[in-house]
Amino acid sequence: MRVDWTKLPPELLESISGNLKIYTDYLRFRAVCRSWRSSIPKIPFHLPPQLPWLMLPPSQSHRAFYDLSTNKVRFLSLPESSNPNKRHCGSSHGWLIILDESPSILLLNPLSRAKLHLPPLSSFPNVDSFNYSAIGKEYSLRYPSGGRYTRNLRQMRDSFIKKMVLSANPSKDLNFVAIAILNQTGELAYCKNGDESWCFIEGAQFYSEDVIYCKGLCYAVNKQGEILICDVRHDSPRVSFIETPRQLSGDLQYLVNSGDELLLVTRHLDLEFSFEPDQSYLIYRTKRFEVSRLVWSGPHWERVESLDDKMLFIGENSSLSLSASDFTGCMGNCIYFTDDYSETNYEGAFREHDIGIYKLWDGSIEPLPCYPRNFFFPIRWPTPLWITPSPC
Amino acid sequence: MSTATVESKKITLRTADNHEFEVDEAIAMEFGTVKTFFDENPDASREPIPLPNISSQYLSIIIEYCKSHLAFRVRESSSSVEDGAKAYDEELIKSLDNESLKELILAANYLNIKDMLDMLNQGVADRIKNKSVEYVRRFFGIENDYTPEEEAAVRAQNEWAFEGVDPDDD
Repeated sequence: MRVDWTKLPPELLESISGNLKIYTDYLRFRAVCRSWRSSIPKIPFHLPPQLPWLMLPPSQSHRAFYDLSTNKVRFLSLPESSNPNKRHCGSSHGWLIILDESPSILLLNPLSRAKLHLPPLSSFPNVDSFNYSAIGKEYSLRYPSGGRYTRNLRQMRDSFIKKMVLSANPSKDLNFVAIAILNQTGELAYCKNGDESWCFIEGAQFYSEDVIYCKGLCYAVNKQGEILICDVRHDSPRVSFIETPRQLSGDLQYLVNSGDELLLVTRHLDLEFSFEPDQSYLIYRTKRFEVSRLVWSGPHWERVESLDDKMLFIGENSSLSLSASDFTGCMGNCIYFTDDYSETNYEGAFREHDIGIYKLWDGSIEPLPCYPRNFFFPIRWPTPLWITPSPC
Repeated sequence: MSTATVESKKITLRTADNHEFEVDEAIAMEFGTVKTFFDENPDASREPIPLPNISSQYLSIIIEYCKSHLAFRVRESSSSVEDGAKAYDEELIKSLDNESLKELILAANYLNIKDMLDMLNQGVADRIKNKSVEYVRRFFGIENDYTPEEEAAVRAQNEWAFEGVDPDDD
């Protein structure tokens, strides 16, 4: 029986295409013939998180994205993100979180070009007022103790927010929540889609280093490895602490939700002098990582020697854990990392980016193919950032 | 009072190539179409049910699948039982060439056997993973009905997706 597969019932086609887990496979499947193209939805909502691309510094109005699977750089036209006065303070569920020299906070999906605004920087509770005409002191803020100070447009763009994460993909969940870590104090703020302003999470004077959103709750970690859990789903946020024995080493901490486990990733930096013909300068270099899992009874952190098939992506993005066997071009038991030193991002002149692949099995660091060693970028450009390509 | 051994009811299925298969009612009820038929016609006579779209080669595989999975389900659910079912499925998929895989999908779809269909669809998805559009067309025996301009336009929408595929080895 010669069956014409172009004339299959749409449900059968959808069922097959629904088993394609990689976005490029789905796109190619949909390009097979006319009837398939019309039977299969343009936007696949079923895709699990894709392998992240590395977003590279902009060139004119295009952004380059390095794809590990194919070892190729792809260019997407992205004027909203290509201006050098933009700074990304996060990348979450396939969306970029973009700040510039204005109070606005823009969410942008580079693949779908969908855009959304969060309440502006001027709506944070500690911002008393914002005035464009107060040149050099556009923002007027208040310390928790009550004292007042001012910040200009660039300072607010660069130093007010340390990191922002989203609870979900805004296209898939209209009730998403955005969480922000404030830079100096590590305080946590949040807002829900549709809110006019940000709120602080009370009881969370915590000096957070990293924050993730997982199963309806927000988890933040401080330098000592203590965890703050916030439930912001209701009108007044509820806060609880997990006090673990103090972690005393490491320069930066990250939290990652991996499978059913909460992982603490500690990043150790070394400060090195780099000598150039006309100047010497300090650069930070990642030396190694340590990974621990949270053991709830205790509770305490237990050292993890191997991630097995898992790989972690950390940096300014929302920390991510994926299985290497689901994709090509990547390795399990590795940490794919980028720069992440918010305070120093915009100081100094040229330096290498601190980017690479840390291999847990031997502690070595392999450069990313698109970022060979001794490759210098002017660091006023946005630092490279992991972003999961998401069609919606 | 004698306890007669209850003979499980049998249902006869007749394939496109005129073979008759006699199966336990429990197995036949795994076929959604058969179950629906008997649900709606509880008094239907047990004459052979014609399956004009299915050849004996594939019906026998389907019957084996349903028998095995029914047996797995009857046992208490445990991780070893799950592993056993998974191993059975993997072996089955491995044993099928592309033609048989496609024919079984059509058969399982016609008979409305959801679990088997899901498993087979996953098998097909795995076989076309990271393959070029041309490979997928050949796999399904589909003629490209795009004009060159249309094809170029389709590819241009997401041109990055069409690079980096496995070389065609078919």
